[in-house]
Amino acid sequence: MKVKTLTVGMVGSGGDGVVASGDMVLGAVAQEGLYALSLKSFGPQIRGGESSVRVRIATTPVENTGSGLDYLIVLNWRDYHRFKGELNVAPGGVIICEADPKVAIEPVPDKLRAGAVVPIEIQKLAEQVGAKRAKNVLTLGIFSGLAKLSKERFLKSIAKRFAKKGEEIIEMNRKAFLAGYETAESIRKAEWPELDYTPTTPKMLVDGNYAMAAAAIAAGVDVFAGYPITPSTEVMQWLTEHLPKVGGRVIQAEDEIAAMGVVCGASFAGAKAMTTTSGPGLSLKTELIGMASIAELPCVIIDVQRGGPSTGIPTKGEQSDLNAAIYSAHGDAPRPVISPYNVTSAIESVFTAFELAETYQTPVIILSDGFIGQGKQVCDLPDLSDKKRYPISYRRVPTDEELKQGYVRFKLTESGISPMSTVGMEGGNYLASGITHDEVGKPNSDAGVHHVMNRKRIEKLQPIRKRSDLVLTFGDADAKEAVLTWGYSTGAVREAVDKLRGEGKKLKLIVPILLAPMPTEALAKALAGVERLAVVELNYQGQMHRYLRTELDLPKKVFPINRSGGAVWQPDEVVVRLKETMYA
Amino acid sequence: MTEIKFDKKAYQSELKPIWCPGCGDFGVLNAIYQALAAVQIPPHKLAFLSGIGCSSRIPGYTTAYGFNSVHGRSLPMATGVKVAKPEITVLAAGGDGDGFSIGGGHVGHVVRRNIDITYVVMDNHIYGLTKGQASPTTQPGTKSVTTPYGISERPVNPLLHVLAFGAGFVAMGGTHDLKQLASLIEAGIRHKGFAFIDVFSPCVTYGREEDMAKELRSRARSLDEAGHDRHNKLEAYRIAELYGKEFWTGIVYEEEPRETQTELLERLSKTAQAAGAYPRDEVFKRNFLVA
Repeated sequence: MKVKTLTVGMVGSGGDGVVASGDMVLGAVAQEGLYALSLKSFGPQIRGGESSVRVRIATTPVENTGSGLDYLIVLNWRDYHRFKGELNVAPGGVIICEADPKVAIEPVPDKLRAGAVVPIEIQKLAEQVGAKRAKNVLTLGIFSGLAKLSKERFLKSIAKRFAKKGEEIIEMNRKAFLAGYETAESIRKAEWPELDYTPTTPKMLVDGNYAMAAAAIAAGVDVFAGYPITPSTEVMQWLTEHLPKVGGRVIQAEDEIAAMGVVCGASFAGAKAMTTTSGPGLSLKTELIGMASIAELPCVIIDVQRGGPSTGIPTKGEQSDLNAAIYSAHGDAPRPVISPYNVTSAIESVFTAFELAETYQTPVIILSDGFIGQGKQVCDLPDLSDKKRYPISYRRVPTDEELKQGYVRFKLTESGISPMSTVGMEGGNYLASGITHDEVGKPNSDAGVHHVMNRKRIEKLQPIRKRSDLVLTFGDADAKEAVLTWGYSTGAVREAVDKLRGEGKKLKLIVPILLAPMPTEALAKALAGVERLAVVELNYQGQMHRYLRTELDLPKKVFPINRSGGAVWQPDEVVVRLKETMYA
Repeated sequence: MTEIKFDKKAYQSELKPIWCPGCGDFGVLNAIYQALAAVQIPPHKLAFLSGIGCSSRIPGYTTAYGFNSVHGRSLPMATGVKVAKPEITVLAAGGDGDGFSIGGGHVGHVVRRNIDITYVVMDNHIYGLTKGQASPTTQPGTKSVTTPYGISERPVNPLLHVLAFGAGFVAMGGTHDLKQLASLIEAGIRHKGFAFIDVFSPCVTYGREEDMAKELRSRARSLDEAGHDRHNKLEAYRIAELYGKEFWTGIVYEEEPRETQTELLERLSKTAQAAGAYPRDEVFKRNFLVA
């Protein structure tokens, strides 16, 4: 059966190389000019535990990893059971599994027997071609043969993957792949899914965390400081290698607080500064984020959200840091919060964050999550010459005239934005502080001054609300029913909305990228005429739903659709939930 | 002789200190003015960062680019400034609570970085701003508002602490001798790498009688006069061990200057650039396009 998109899932133990297999699929389809998105999942073990990967491939940009799998590859069923909640099979899906019961450990689960179960003696076949250690690559051969993906591209992808290991290893994997591919040709059935596409220009293949690190480089980051924390660490790791190449600096700090301190110090000195963290780290950084607000320091904090509270589920994503991102820190210390929904928008969000931080002299939080960060995407190269989408922004520094006349760091201006000198500027010396200060920077405990300075810092952020470009809408403009979602859930929800529209329903999807300050005008406009609204998000309390209620008049009928994270929303799941609620 | 362009006054801001009359911190401030004038750093090439506490108000009393940040974080902040602008002279200061209690986790790591920052701890063995609670350097037996029956913890030994992490410059001074103190701070600023100066700066309001300047003057013993070899690390440990028992002042330890963190980062960056520098806007094409 010819399809325009298909999803493959693989599961195995550490050492089976399933994650590497997923990468090789991505590498192969990127060469073909296809789009793809992958999601890997691990057990809690540091090394050698079970792992799974799912890859969705399509002829158009992929924004979610799909619902049920079209192909499931299982080397042993014990590992599968650990992930079964994440690896359900679509109707008509094909299950390729080990036929040797000793290797498979357990029988095929009853639930899956209804599908096309294709037992193959994978281990024996691998041994026959002298590739016992390349069972995963053999299954890749089976998959690419069945899905009708290019053999040559896979072989190139494999050669690249094992380039460092030498010719012998490459040859072994080649043999394994070809053995699988030939097997596929002998068993293929017409009703099984095969991808219908024409090769085009190669695409970019990038991890979400790497993409955000690279975006920071492109947006001009000078100093990065961080502390290792799952699932964000790859941002720092990638920057340690690449930022020095463009003249920037990375400090791996002694703790989360120190990382934020280094960022604040660097920003004060005049650098574009950024840090990355996840929930627990965001909690720790909070006091200094508040200081960055009062001292008016431009800086960017990326929170790669994971399951919370506390340690939660470090290896899996969730959308439960919304409250913390918007409200944390004592006192009146609002700051812009933006949330991308896939790798492409994550790249844009880093530019937007630096733009807002530098323009408004404020900390800015980007809410990414473990699914975006740990996922790999095959997508188009960003066209960085498009300065509207990828702006390079700088803070307003004092003019020579302002420096000569007696510099006033926190001058009350109409916009609330004051000139910010950078350390080393003659005549620009001032005292920065977390203590309430007057326009000059002098500590002051007068209630009136305190109020005026709070007003300055809070009102200067209000124009950001008008960024209607940071609220996306899809679907039927005049629909009476709408779904609002944010972050990584967008991909799945968008597909769910498309499915329902395909069933003849009139429906609109609203996705705010800018979460704070709330873009009330654009949201009110998007909600005009909407009578029933569903709010879909991945946290238990429905944090977005509650947040919307604080600043916006919502339609009379609102259906919060929320559950804890750890597993992503799947499009079909969203369809079911919408039918049970908004359409009930 | 270098031309004297900046006298003490050039570093003095218009702000009036909030300290109690007679506070040791006045002396430290004065010694800092003197040291800066001796080194002739243009005020705009100077960054001065602190945390919270009576003593942490000090950057505001200078004409440097000052930052009175949050409790315990002067050293990460100072690191950020130095990393961003290695050409700037960076000072950090605060009290013993700021440095060795709430900010204690940072001290060792800044030492390990050997980043070129001069860190002056105004050590008065008490929390003054919050009115007299025990601090990490409060000595055994001391009664304070939070230790009405005496203190239950042993005090921190700041000198041993920084030596253990490998500090390249460690000095002990006091406000009883401002001339010596100014020379210690000057030496710290001139030292290439991290410099730590613990200054006994008595709290006239909440401190112990025996810690007041007059008492200190009689107890103080000069390391220089005793012929201490500042390059001998074992001797430095021996002197450091006496902290809280005997009052030795001077440079406890100074090692030959070695590469600082910002120099190292510069060198590594040059190596990385030689191996593969690229324009920032090619970052995606270079690293992620699948050929």
